[in-house]
Amino acid sequence: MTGSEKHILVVDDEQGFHDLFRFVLEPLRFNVHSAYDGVEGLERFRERNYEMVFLDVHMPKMTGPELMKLLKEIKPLQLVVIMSSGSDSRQVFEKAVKEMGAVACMYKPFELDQVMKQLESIPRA
Amino acid sequence: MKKTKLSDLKFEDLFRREPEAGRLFFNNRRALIFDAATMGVLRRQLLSTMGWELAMGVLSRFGYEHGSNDAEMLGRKFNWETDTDWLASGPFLHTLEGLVHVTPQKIEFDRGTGHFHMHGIWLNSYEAETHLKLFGLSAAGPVCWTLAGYASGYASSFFGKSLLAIETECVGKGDARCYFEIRPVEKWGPEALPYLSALQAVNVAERLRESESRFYDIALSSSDWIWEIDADGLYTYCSPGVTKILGYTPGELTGKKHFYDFFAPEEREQLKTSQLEIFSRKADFNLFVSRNLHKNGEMVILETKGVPILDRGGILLGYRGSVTDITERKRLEASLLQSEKLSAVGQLAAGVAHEINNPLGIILGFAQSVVRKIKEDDALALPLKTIEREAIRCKNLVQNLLVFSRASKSETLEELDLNTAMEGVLSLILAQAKARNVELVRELGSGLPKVNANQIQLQQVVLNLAHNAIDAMPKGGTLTIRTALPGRRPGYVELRVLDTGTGIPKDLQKRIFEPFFTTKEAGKGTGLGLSLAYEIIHKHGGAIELESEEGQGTEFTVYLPVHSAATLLAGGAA
Ligand SMILES: Nc1ncnc2c1ncn2[C@@H]1O[C@H](COP(=O)(O)OP(=O)(O)OP(=O)(O)O)[C@@H](O)[C@H]1O
Repeated sequence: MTGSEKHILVVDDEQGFHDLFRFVLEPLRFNVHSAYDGVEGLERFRERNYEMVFLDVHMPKMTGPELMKLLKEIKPLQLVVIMSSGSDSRQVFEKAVKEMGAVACMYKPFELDQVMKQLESIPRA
Repeated sequence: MKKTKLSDLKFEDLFRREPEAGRLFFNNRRALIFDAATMGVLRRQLLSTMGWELAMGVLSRFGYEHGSNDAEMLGRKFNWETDTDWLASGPFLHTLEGLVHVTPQKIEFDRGTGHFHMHGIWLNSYEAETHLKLFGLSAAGPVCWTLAGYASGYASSFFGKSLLAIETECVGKGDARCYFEIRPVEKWGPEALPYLSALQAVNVAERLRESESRFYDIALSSSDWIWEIDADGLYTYCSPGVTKILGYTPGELTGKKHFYDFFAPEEREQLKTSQLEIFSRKADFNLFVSRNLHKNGEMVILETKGVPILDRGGILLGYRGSVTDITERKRLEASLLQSEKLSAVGQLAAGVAHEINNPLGIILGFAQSVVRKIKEDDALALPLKTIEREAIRCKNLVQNLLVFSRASKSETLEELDLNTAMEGVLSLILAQAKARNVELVRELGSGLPKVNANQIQLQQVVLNLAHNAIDAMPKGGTLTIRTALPGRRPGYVELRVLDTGTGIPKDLQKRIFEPFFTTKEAGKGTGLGLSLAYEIIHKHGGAIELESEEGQGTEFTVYLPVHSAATLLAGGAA
């Protein structure tokens, strides 16, 4: 698996989620990159390629779906997973972000298996 | 034909009086039913129930009618030599009331100018005499009113103009003199006012009676129940509205039942006392709310208004008022209140969901990832698994709370087969039931119309109901889940969840739909299951009802609008 290390970008204003993603994914040879708001997320995104991007919905400066729109303009095929912590009506919200190009929408608190399932959907290099 | 002169009439010969028997004969024929005692009682009753003005009016009018009939009759019957004779004969012949000896002192009249004046002395009246004997002095007034009315009627009919007779001096003894005068109404001064206003009062009363009959028309057609009770609380009138409200016909109540007879037995004494307290103050009351027993055994909630009926002296004769059935309104209010409470909970939850979901997500994520890394027999396995399990419980709690929030209101409804949706959860329920020694009976009706529903939410409702049912049968029992077309509610499909468990005490039945109400031990129940079910069914345009007998079991019934009806109800908006 060496050399095929995957890069993941997590954009969330909660430090705990960055720690969690590192704790879970680094042993699985994922390289976890962190950004804490939308603007920083955009900067990180421009720096390199990511196999998958996880975006929190409610963040300072820019919401997750807004950021996703910008990312998709840069890389239309980018895999994006939206993470919601709110009380947004599920069906309506999920439909909207999927139409915008998200591969999935996870609701916090999500279970580990949901994250793994998303990662498995990354095409092998 | 020989002309009749007044002096020709030998009254003592024509009339025979039998005072003790209260009888009067004219030409040896029983001329009229004459009973001074009865008349006296009638007069006293008039006085006590109507007050003096109305009684005076009624008695004057009564005399007036007879006087004018007599004048006509005597005019036709005899060929009087002079008008004066005809006129003077009248007051003698007070045919109904008895015999009055009148000595006319002056009679003047001119049909051309309309001038009329007569005065004289009522020497004694048979009527008044009998009265005084029976009732004493106080009876004189009412007798005089009748006589004055009689004289007025007689003279007016004779003269063709409104004339009024007034007793100018009443000695109040049958054998003494009473003076009277007859003049055109407008020729009288203030002394005529009591007579005129008494007659006026009778006219008004007559108009009142008309409006009363209009009132009865309204009472007949109203869905309210219009009632009247006497001072003992006994119904003296009930409009047909009572039949719809209490199931009894007016005849079953009037004269037979008291206002308190239908109060819910457990509240009867208290309601009766508070009602009697109002009566003792002769106060109006408005919005008196009581639970009452319908003939069919159901409880109905009634709102009553009433006003006292008082006599002139302020004595309470009874009450009258109306009753409105507010059972349905109360039910609606309660359910509105309930759903307001729930939506407040929902809004609160929506507000804090973000703050809770983030930390919870982190706790759950770490707990799960660590659990996976350690071995089953690790000393930390149990604590970590516990953290994971409890985090999931919190997660479910927050999710449940969110269902109440307006945000989740827009969850879409779809055309759904109720039975298919049930199949999905029955396997889950079966597993739970087996583990708790409960037998699961499924009775899914065939050919049910589709409902308009959100499948996940509907399944959640059934799960909650089944869960509660199983919890209520700690020693095992039978859980029945049934779908059917309800006989009572067209346009709905029903879903019933029945258990043979502990049942729910009556006083708790109102509260179980409240959020956070639970009787389960701490940590076992959130108290949200039923309020959630309630909220979901409510949003579906349905209803949820329960019937429970302590020690026997509980039956929850959920009504869901069939697809077409639901879209009609919601105006097409999902
Ligand atoms: N079938 C039943 N038989 C007897 N009691 C019941 C039944 N269903 C509900 N209850 C009573 O109603 C209360 C409220 O029920 P509800 O479902 O709202 O909360 P809960 O069951 O206590 O908590 P949770 O929903 O978290 O399990 C219960 O605690 C119980 O006392």
